[in-house]
Amino acid sequence: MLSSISLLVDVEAVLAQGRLADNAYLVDNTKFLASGKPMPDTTYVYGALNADGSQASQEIMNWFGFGIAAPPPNLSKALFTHAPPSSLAKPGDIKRPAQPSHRTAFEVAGKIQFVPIVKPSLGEGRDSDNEIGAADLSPRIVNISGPAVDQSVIYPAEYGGPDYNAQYAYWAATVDVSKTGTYDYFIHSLIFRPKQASGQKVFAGERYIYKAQVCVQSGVLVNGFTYGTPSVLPLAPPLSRETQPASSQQGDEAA
Amino acid sequence: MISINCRLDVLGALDEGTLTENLFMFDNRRMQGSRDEGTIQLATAVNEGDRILWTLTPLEVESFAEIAAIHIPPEICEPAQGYYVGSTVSYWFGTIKKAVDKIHYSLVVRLGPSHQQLTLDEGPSLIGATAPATNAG
Repeated sequence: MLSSISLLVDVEAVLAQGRLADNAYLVDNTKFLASGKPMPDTTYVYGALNADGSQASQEIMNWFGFGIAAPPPNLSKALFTHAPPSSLAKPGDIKRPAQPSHRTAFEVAGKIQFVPIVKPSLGEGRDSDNEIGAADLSPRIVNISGPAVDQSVIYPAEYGGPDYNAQYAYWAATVDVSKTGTYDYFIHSLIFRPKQASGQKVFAGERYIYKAQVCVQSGVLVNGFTYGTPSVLPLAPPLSRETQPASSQQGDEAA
Repeated sequence: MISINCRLDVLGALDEGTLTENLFMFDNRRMQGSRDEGTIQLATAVNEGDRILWTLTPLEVESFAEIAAIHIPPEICEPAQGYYVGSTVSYWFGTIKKAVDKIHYSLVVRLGPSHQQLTLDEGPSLIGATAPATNAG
């Protein structure tokens, strides 16, 4: 199973208060796996079993950082004009950005770098302005660390998003589901604060850390792809007519 | 602008046939008095004249979901659907016509490959703000 873990951040509140506490929230799609009331900030992982009953590794965790007021993540960062739906997009369909000169300045290692980000338009006269503000920039996850990593429960790394049009990176980890228990880990993220430098607005990243947990349970996931049977490896072939119990075949013949 | 950002566990909602426990609602107004962030009881702090942008994103990037309707008494706000220019990503947009004490609203979500609709009645609300919005630029 893929765990989708979203770190949602009220960016302007974090910049005003200088802390993630009360201004950042972790949500995922694993609460149904919890035995009892789910704990906050906890991702639940079930395993898959080998044929001998031992736990087999089959779980993946994905992390994404989002600003609550940032444009939806399924939009392209540099929104192309007249682009087809992303599921149909081909490289030849891409048009140039409407405002190719619109660049946003970031301070990286003491130097200013320009990134061609165009603020997506709501259209119909609903935009406040077209200038990128702090709230428009989602936090960027830059590391996953902590006991869960040190004890080799999760193996995180950064990957590029599969949809080239979205141009995002994300963090993912495989899970050693044989190591049952609850482990802490830390999500390191950069949140971008605007400041004036060289006569222009420049965004400088500030690092914030969010503490979370992963709970590896000894249960086994029931897999829809295997006709609702437990996830036992190697996967058993589905029952066919030839392999159905003899009593069932006899019943068919009688009918 | 006030952003109300909804995150949906699409598979959970389809499996259980309800948005409860599967929809997570957030806004950028906690410092102005919003409460119950991350729940379907999100109470968003608003002032007269505030503009609100509702968006919904599935937790699983491969699945589909969008807001199909928002029902608020029209004398308070009349949200309308729009699309980000050049995309098929939808949003809902409305302006607060007058100050409120507390008023609930309903949310209808369209989800999954068959575009099934699920409704959240009397869950989220709009409440009077305790402070004006700030802007970090």
